Formats: sequence, structure tokens, C-alpha cells
Amino acid sequence: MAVASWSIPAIPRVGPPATVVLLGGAFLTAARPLAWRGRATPRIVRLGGGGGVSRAGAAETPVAGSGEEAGVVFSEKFPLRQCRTVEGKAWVRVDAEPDGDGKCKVLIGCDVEGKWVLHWGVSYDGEHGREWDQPPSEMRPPGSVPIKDYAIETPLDISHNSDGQMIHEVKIKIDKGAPIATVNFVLKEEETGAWFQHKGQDFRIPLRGSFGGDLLGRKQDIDVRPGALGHLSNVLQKPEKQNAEPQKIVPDDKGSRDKSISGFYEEYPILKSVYAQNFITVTVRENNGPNKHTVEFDTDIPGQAIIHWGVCKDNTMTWEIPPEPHPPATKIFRQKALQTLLQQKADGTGNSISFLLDAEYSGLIFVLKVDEYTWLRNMENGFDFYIPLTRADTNTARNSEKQKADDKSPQTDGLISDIRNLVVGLTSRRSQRVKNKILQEDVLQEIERLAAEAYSIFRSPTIDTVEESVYIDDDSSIVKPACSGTGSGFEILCQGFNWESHKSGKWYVELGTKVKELSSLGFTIVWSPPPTDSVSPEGYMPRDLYNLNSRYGTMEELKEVVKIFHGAGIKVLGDAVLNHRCAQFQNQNGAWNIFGGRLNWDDRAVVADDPHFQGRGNKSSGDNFHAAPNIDHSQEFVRSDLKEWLCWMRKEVGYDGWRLDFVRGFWGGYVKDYLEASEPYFAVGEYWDSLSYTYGEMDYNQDAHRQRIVDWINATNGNAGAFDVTTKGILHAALERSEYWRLSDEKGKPPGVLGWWPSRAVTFIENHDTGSTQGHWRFPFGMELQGYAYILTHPGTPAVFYDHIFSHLHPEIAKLISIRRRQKIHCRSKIKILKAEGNVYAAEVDERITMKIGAGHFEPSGPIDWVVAAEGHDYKIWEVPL
Amino acid sequence: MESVLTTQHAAARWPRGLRTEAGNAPARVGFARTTELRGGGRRDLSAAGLGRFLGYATGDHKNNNLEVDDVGPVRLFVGLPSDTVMDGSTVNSARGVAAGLKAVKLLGADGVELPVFWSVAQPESPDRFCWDGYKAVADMARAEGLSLRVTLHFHGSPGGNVPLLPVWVTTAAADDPDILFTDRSGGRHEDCLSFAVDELPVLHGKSPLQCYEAFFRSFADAFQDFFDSTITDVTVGLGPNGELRYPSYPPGSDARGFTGVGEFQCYDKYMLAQLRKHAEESGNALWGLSGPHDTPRYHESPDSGNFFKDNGGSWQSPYGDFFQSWYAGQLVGHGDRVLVVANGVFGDKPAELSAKVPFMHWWHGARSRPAEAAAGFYKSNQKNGYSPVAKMFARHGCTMIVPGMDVCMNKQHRITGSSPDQLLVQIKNACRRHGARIAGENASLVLTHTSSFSRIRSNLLTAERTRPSHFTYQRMGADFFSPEHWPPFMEFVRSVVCGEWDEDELADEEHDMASTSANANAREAQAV
Repeated sequence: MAVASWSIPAIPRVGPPATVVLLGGAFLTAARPLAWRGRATPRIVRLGGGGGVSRAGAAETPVAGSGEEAGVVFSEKFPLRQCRTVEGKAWVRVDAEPDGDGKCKVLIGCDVEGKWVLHWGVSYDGEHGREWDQPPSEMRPPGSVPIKDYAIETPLDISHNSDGQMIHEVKIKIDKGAPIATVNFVLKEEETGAWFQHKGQDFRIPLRGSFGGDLLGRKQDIDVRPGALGHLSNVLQKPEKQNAEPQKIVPDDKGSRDKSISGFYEEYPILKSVYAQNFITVTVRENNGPNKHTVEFDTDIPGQAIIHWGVCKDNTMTWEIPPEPHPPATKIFRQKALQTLLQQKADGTGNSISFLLDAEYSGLIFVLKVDEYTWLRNMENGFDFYIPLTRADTNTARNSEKQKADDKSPQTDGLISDIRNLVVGLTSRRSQRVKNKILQEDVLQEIERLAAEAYSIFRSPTIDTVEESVYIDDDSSIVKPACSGTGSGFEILCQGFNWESHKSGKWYVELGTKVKELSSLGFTIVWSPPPTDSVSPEGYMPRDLYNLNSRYGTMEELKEVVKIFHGAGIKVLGDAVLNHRCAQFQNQNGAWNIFGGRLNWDDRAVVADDPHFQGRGNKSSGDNFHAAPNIDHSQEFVRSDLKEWLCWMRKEVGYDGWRLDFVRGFWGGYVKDYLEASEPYFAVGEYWDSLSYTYGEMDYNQDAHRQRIVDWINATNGNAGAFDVTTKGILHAALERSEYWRLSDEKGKPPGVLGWWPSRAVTFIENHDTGSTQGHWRFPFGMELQGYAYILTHPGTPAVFYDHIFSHLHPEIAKLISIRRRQKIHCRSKIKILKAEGNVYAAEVDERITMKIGAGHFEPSGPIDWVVAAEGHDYKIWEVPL
Repeated sequence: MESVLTTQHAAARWPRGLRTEAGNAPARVGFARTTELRGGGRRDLSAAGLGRFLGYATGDHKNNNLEVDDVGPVRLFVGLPSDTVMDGSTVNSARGVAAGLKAVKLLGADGVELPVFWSVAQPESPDRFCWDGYKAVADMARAEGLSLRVTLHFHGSPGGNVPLLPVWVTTAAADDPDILFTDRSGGRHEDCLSFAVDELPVLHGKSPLQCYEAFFRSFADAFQDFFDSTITDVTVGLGPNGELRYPSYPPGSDARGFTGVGEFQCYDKYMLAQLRKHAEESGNALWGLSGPHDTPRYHESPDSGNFFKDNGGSWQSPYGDFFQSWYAGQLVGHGDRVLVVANGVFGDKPAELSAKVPFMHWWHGARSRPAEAAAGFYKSNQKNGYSPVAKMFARHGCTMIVPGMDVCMNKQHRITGSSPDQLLVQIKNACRRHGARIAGENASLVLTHTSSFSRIRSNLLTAERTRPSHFTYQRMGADFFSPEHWPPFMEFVRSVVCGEWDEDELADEEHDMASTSANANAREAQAV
């Protein structure tokens, strides 16, 4: 999984995630950048990624490699999305006169384009309340599908009305004598997943008795507040003020209250949202002398378009207005921002403008205004567009960010002082109130985080003693019965894909051909790529979880390769992305938060604290991954759906366990739940955050970092291992700078998770994100074998990266694995560090292996008769002869 | 706000069968909470507790409150785990405690309650105290700006992780088991020294009272620094489970879990000697030979012996009155002695002195109030058994902590004749009559149907003069922070801290929000 912040591992997490939720709209009346709470430097997005959500990971430096055009400092094409509404009407007609067969007709139709389905049921005579029943089968039009035992879904047929206009209609025939009191329905538009209701209720067509007072439900018996309905459906009923009473056409005598079907006709206005895809290109050139930049905007939005913009200095993200002269057709907006009207392009294909700007500014921030109510922002993160104006600035921005974030003051303190500062600066009562609310959001989030932390500690008091007793489960002689956190204890894991594997389209087949080789190398577990339908080809932007046809191959091919692996005695891990899920549909505000497929969740499944996706769930129990809606695991229905899905994959695909993606995003206690339900043989989570650095230099003590990982493992009740990011980070520093002393912590133990909870540490030196073609945090080049000599001789469960196996490293890796296997080194093996100095590190494991890495000299001594088992560039391994 | 409103009505608007979840909407604790919290937020400026929450000066609202009630707002404490410190020098689950302290601070609680055990602070010998662990906790509380109520327990609780008594007391008890409370069948309470030995030199040449005093004094010296800044309340444990009572429950069981009638505990030789002396002095030497012979066993119904029978039971006889009066008098006497000592040590400290009484609501329906009587609460002529205790508390200026603010009536309790309402009224009456302050605790975490936050809230936010001066929610631990318990607790605290709901302002605000939400998108974007 790639996240922008990972691309520069030196940047620790920057501040708490901003928590301005929906209601934030009210307080942000001053023109300040939304990033006012110290959010990280805005990420720059490249166009692409299909489906409107682009991966941010690849865009490390926006200017990299864009040298084709002289003087171009920056050029980027941003996708834009605009919501437009289509107006139309829906109608209900009841023909009271029975036709030749003695049947009456109910006609329901609508003239808005779309794939309409009538979701309906009936109430029988003598029943009260609003219960639905399924209509008798003779009433159901062809194509009807029963939904559970109370409703029917019938698609609307397309036909043409007298004006030749396309309409959608369905006809229901009812026996004149049928004991049906009402027909109840709602309309559903399948493409957007939107529901169309009557004032938030079912439509009710009374077929009996008086309808004058009780037509389509009691009038206004539910008070629909403006805007409130929006969360239910993205087809809004137009406010009915214009025609407060639907036109009623009552053909015959109103007085007839007898038990006869009454005829009437009603129309309802409806609105449907459709989306227009546009783009805006921003180019910055350095051509008018050293002190000026040309900034060029170009968009294909037709009609009027205004950029609402400001500039900032020194990466403060504070909006400023540049001095005059301003570009033509520019207004100053409340002394805080400029609004510049773009000029229509001659060929009518859009708008553009270009103007000069002083080079002293570091960045330009803007949003696009199309009309009074439509403002377009960066789709990728929901924030303002940020355009860096100088090359150098991107780097300094990151550096200063880094230093700021290195300040390790406890979060709560920061929060409290934040609160104080804000309280001091308050002026009007109104803003005070609103700000208090925002503060409370922060405070509540912090409280929840603390409570979750306290819970995990009190629930299993072992965690606190981690630091004291170093090894949590140090009984190396007894290998505990299999647990999904450890497997057998002798597992060696192979990551069976890289970042490019999706390109062939038949990776599963290709991987199948390697099974023999992997098995003969001694691997016991293979980690296969994320299998689901995904917005991104690599699979980490899952959409329909039950669709296992992906760019890696079909579901059948997947099952086949799993079978082959099982035949070779290798367990297979599925890559489960539980943190986020891409929505298929947008809500009426244009936020992508309505899901499709078998798990057709709505915005209640989305966490509430990422404004871009307007979730209605609870707040996230972890960090947010901003490129897709983060799933709210606190919802019971979400959890039970996910458990069912995991169990289904276990059974259907045959997966033996899980590699869990981005588990920082939600509380480990939920993972425990999932693992207990799906009972994997092995599970490992990717808890990847940054190590601690001081002034750009990695700290020696990374206890806080590994503690976070151990905390997570502990929250899963030890049911999952975790990738030992700490060890990888420390290996980087130790090898790169020849500082091998880093490999022994203050207590003489390994400094990573490996040193504290070896049985749950899955050690690795590279994966598809850190290496491969992404290279977000690549292991020091040419030192991979030292890395493998370390992890393959040490306790923990080592994981070897695909690219390394099938490379020139193959023979030496094979040798290292075979040493580990014949000396029966396992995840709880005892380690004794013999030397950890500037240029050499040496350790003895289980009194069976001695190893050294680094250029320095080391020879094992002592009573054991050591024999050299492997030797290579800057590493050497000795073993006890068998 | 907009989204919140939607949620509240969503269920109603969903047609049956529209979504599978329509029938059983997923639990939305979080949302409901947020609703209330946001609602609370808009009362920021007028509500009593929220000033604290946001760090405002608290002076204003205090003045406001004085107009309404001369009792200040209820101070809210949260109890720390009873095994926070177990071996004198280290803090258990320190990171959990630290996180918990921060959480309750941010939530708006005033402080935490720290149980301090004799067996932990003075474990090995009567000469050596070890306060390091407790001091570390006090430091943590001070660092968070929380106040601290310390409860000085002489007796551990059976079933807890903390040793019942210091080892050197236990060895003394091994030599002379009669210094422990003893029941009719000779069962000893290893968690509790008999009240009759208070002034006898049974502990390595010292009397328990002298030991208590040394313990108080050592604590006061060790925590001198904290009295000015952090410790606002000192609670003196007057008996088992920190409550002024007899251990009328079966030996070795947990006082909190016992709902039977219980038995009289007067069968150690020192108690029997006192009884004999008292009987002789009152001219009925025969009455002093033993305790009543016809009382029910621990778990038996009050009717199963003659003593507590509703009609014609010997509790109504002159002997019954004689015995119960003496038995209750011994309890008050013990409380009196210990409080004298405590006042001598803590009297000049700027801290409120308090002590806890048991909430004996079982068998309250029986005329003889057998459970109260066995625990030592009795007053002749069917008068209020808590009255003599309240009088004694008032005399020492000691606040009475009532640990049953959460208990509600339910079927199970009804079988035992429980009546928490009436008992609470009874205790309040006793305190009001004698002028003792009252404070509260909950009997258990609100996770069962016998315990409820709304009941606590109504007991705290009462306008009566007997409004509790502080309330301590017991206690932190895994269950406390669990997803089942924490969210409703948060809601509870916020509703207490913020006081009552202001309907008018709420309506105003909703209207505001609704109109602004219509073009929320536009506003949000303007806000760039």
C-alpha cells in the first residue's frame, strides 16, 4: 500500500488528522486555507487512476522529470468533477375502470433518464400500520424479483410518450375484487443507487375508501428538514413550494366511499444528479526574468469559471493577496483572496488565463468557482489545490515539516495548548460556539483514542511489562501450539508479487509455474496479491469485495494457483484490504460513499472524519487513508459483513490466512474479531508508520515506534504478527552509514519488534511499496544480502521479496534459507548479540548459528566447534555441524 | 448537525424492506453520543462544568450557582483500579492509567480516586512505609491537573489482587485468631480486625488504633506536597471494603456480591467479652453469654429463624433491642474512634474528610431490616438505622459516602426485598437531620440492568439540600474502557458536567444549522 507520507520515511506522522467535519462549513467563513490545522503539505495529484480516485503515492515530487519544456517549474493536470442536476417528474395513475378481464391498472412512471426499478409491496384490507406484504403473484408484472418476503422489485419499461420523449413506466394490474388496500412503493435508480421517496416515506396509493385525507400517507407527518433528506437519497424531491399540492385528477364522484378502486393521477417533481468530468491544467513557467513566474490555467469547463486564489510564503499555507497589478477581471474577495474570471477560449472549448506572479511566493492555492453554489476542489484530497511555485520549495517544505514533526511533545499537551490558544483568540459569540464545537471534535477524538489505548492495556496487562521483560514469550524450548500470529513458528514467507505483477493480466498463472521452485527453496507461506475488483490495477483500492476477478487473473485462476501451492505444501495468504473501500456511487453532494456489489453499504459504513467522503459512521478508530472512503469498523453490520467475506474467501478461494493492509487505519481489536471469525493459519498486519528522527538523523532509540506496533499486535490479542518496520528502518541506518551499533538496543537486545516480541515480528527488507518500481523506501542498494543474512538467521518470521528471489541474489538467499531450516531456527529462537560496533555486528542464535554482518572483523570463539556455513560480501555465517 | 438530524429520523423514514438494516438499524452509539455532545457544546458558555472543560476561569459559573443552591456543583471523580499499586513501588499498567487519566481529564472529570491500602504501604513491618508507587500515581494525577481523593483502606477485599492485611498483622492474627471478626460457627474474617481490639495492644505491642494513626501520619507526611495542590479529599476506611460496617457476609466472600441477610459477627473472644460486660452493666448478665441463637444463616431468608421474623420475631423483644443496640453501638464506637484519630492527623489539611457506609438495600422490605442490622445499622423502635452513624459523621465533619447512587429496582432484587429508593431516602433523611454532608459512588459499572446512568444523574442533579458534594464512578479497568461501557459513560459525564439541556437554545441552533446547511457546499468552499 502506498501512501504519500511513506514515500519519505523520514517524515513522522504530522499532527492529528484534521477533524473538520461537515458542520465545519459554518465556521470557515474567513478565507483561510483548509489546511489551517497544520495538515501536511498538500499532495500533488497526477491525473489518472480511473474512477476519479488517483493514487497519491506515485507523486513524490511534482516536478521530477518534467524537463521537456524549458523553464517549466510545475505542470499538472487535475481532474475535476461537477455535479449537475436533471429535473423531471414521476407520476402515478390509477385507472379505476376495469378492463376486459376485470382488472384495474396502476401506472407508475418517470421521465428522467436512468435505470429505474420499482421497489414495492402492498397492504391488505384490514391491516393497519405501514407494513409491507408481497402482492399476489398474479399481480406481479413480468420481470419482477421478490426481495425477501415483503417486497417486489420490478424494472420500469422504456417507452415513448405522445411527444416522442422517452419515458419509463410500469403497469400493475389488480383484480377489481382483490382485497388490497394500498400499493406502497419507492423508486430506485440502479446506476446511482439512489432511492426516490415521497417526503421521506413510502409512496402509498390507496385503492380503497377515502383518499382525500390520506393520500400518499398523511401529509407532512414527518418533518423533513431542508438538507436532511439528502443523506438518504441522491435523487431529491424538489421542494414542493411551487406546486404545493400535486394536481389531482379525480375522474369520478368524490363522494363514493364504497369499496371500489378509485382512479386518480398525480405527478411529483424529481431531481437526479449527474456528473460531469472536467479537468484543469496548471503550468508554472520561469521565463520572465528571475523574479517573475508565469502561471497558466487551462480548463475545459464550458461557461463561466473563476479561480478563487491566493498565494503563500514560506510554506505557511496562510493565504495572502499578491500586490497589484492583478490579472484582468479580478476581484478581491473579503480582503482574503482574489477571484479571477478565466477567459473564454476562442474555440469555445473552455477557459484559460495566464498571468505573472512575483517569484517570492512559494505556492499558489486555489479552488475553482463555477457558479455561486459550485466550488470545485482537489478531488484527490478534498482540499484546495496547491501549486508550488519554486522547485526548491518542495524540499524545504518537507524539511521544515520534518523538523516540526520531530518535536515529540505528547499529543494531548499539544491539543490542550491548541484549545487554549484558540479560546484566547475568540471574538464573537457565534464563532466561539462553533469553534468550541470543532475543538470538542478534537477533544472527543483524543478521548476516544485514549480510552481505546487504556482498554487494550487494562484488558491484557502483559503489554506494560514488555519493556521490563523484553521477551514476551521467551520460552524458546517450547514452541507453542499453532496460533495465527506465528503459524508453526518455523514459517518462512515469500511475497509472491511486486508492483508490476498486475501488468501481465495472468499473474496467478505465472506464479503457478514458480510454485515448485518456491517450495524447493524452503518457503512455507506465500503472500498473494489483493484479489478483489479494484479501482487501481494493483488491487489496493478494492471496490466489489465479492468480485475476485482482478488484473492478476480470474477467480478460477486464483483458486487453481492456491490449489497448486497447497499441493506443494505451501500456505497462501490473501492480501485483505479492510481499511478502505472504493465506492461505486456518489451521494447527492458528489461524495463517493455509496457502495455497490454484494456489500451495498451506504455512507453509514464510512468514517465520519474524512470530509471528502462525507461518511455518516463514527469517527475512525485509527489513521485515515485519504484516497478512498475509510470503512467504519465500529458498525456492527460492517463487521459482520467483513467477517462473512473473510470466511467466504477462506472457503471459496482456499486462502490459509491474511496479510492485512494498512492496519494503522483502524483499531486492532477489530482485527482480533476478524481473525477469530475467519480462523486463519497465519496472519500478518502492515502497521507502517515512521520511525523517529532528530534533525534528519534517525534516533538510536526506536522504542516508541516498536511500541506502537506491539500495541497493535496486542490489540489483536496476538492473533496476528506485524511487519517489523522498525527493524527494516534500523537496518537501513546501520548498513548505509556503517553504524552497526544501532543493531543492539539499550538492553543488548535487537532494537526492532524482533527484540520485544520476536514470535509476532515478521521481518522483511523490502516489499512492493518500499522497493519494486515504487521504491518508496528502498533498502540500501547492494546490501540486500546483509539484510537477509540478518533476518534469515534471527528469530521472528522472515519474509523474502519476490524480486530478490528471482534475481542474482537467488543462490545466496537459497543458501541462507537452507541454513535456517537445517538449524531449525524459529520465530522464538534465543539470540545473543556478541558485537555491535561501528562496522560490525555479530550475534549467536540458539547456540546453533553465529553470524556477522559489516566490514569489520569478527570470528566466533568458545567451546563450540563453529563451521563456516555461508560467506559473502560483508557477511559470514557459522553453524554447528549437524 | 445536519447529518445528525437525519440520523434521528432515518429509521422512521426508511420503508420496510428498503434495506436489510432497516429493521435492525446497526448500533450507533457513537452517533447518538456525538449528537448529545455537540448539543452540549452549544451550551459551552452558560453551562456549569464546561468552563472547566475548556479551561475557562471557573469563577463566573460558581457565582451563578450560588444563587440557585449554596452547594457547589457536584465534583466528579473516577476511581482508579484498586490494584493500581500492589507492591509499594511500582504502578501497574502505568500507561493504561496515564491514558485513563488523560481521557477522564479531557472528558471533564474533576479528579480521580486512588485507593491506598495498608497492606501495600506498610507491607512487611510496622516500622517501614513504602509510598513510592502511590506517589507516582499522585504525580501523574497532578501532572494532568486532576484532583485526588485518596481512600485509606485498612482492609483489603477478598477476591482482589491486593493483600487483605499487612503480613505482620496476619502473623499477629495467626498467633491470636480472635483479633479477627468471627461468626457464629467460628468462621474468621481474615480481611478484618475485630472492632473490639481497637484499643488493645494486639499488634506487636501496639493497638490497631495506634497503627491506624501511624499510617495516617505517615501518609500525611509523605504526601505533604500534594495536599496543597492535588489531594482534595481524604476518605478513611472504617471497616471491610472501606465501609463502616460489620463483615456480615460469609468469610472469604466479596462484600459487594453478597445479597443475603448475613450474620452477626460478635463471636471473637474480645467482642464476646465486651458483650458480657455490657450485659452485666445493664443488669441482664444472661444476655451477654452469646449472640442470638435464632438468627438465619448467611443465605437464608429472614423468616428461617425466629429472630428476624416480621411478626413476633425476637428482634422486637427487649433482648433483641438490647443486642442490636449494643452491636450497632460498637460499630458507631469504632467509627468514632478512628475518625477522632483521622481528624487529629488531617484536621488541619485543606482536604475534605469522608468515610463510606454500606448501601444495604437488600431485605429493606422486611420490617426488621435484617441486612442492615447484621451490618450494624440499627436504631431502637424501628427508627432509622443510619441515624446514629450520620450523627457521628456530622460530629466529625465527615462526609458520608453512599455507594449506591446507581442501583435501581429490578426483579431479582425485589425477591430480596430490595428497595434502593427507600434506602437512599432513609440515608438522606438521616444526614439531613444531623447535618452530615453526603457524597456518592456507584455500586457497580453500569453494564447491567441493576445499575443505570440516568439514576446516577438524577441523584446528582437533584436540587435537594442533600445533593452529593462529590460523586466517584468506580472504577477504571478493562470493562470501564470497553466499547460496551465507555461510550455511554462519556455521555453520562458530559451530561453531568454540562448540566441540563437548554431546549430553547437547542431549537435556535438547529434552525440556524438547518438554514446554513442548505448551501453548505458553497460555504465550505468560500471558506478556503
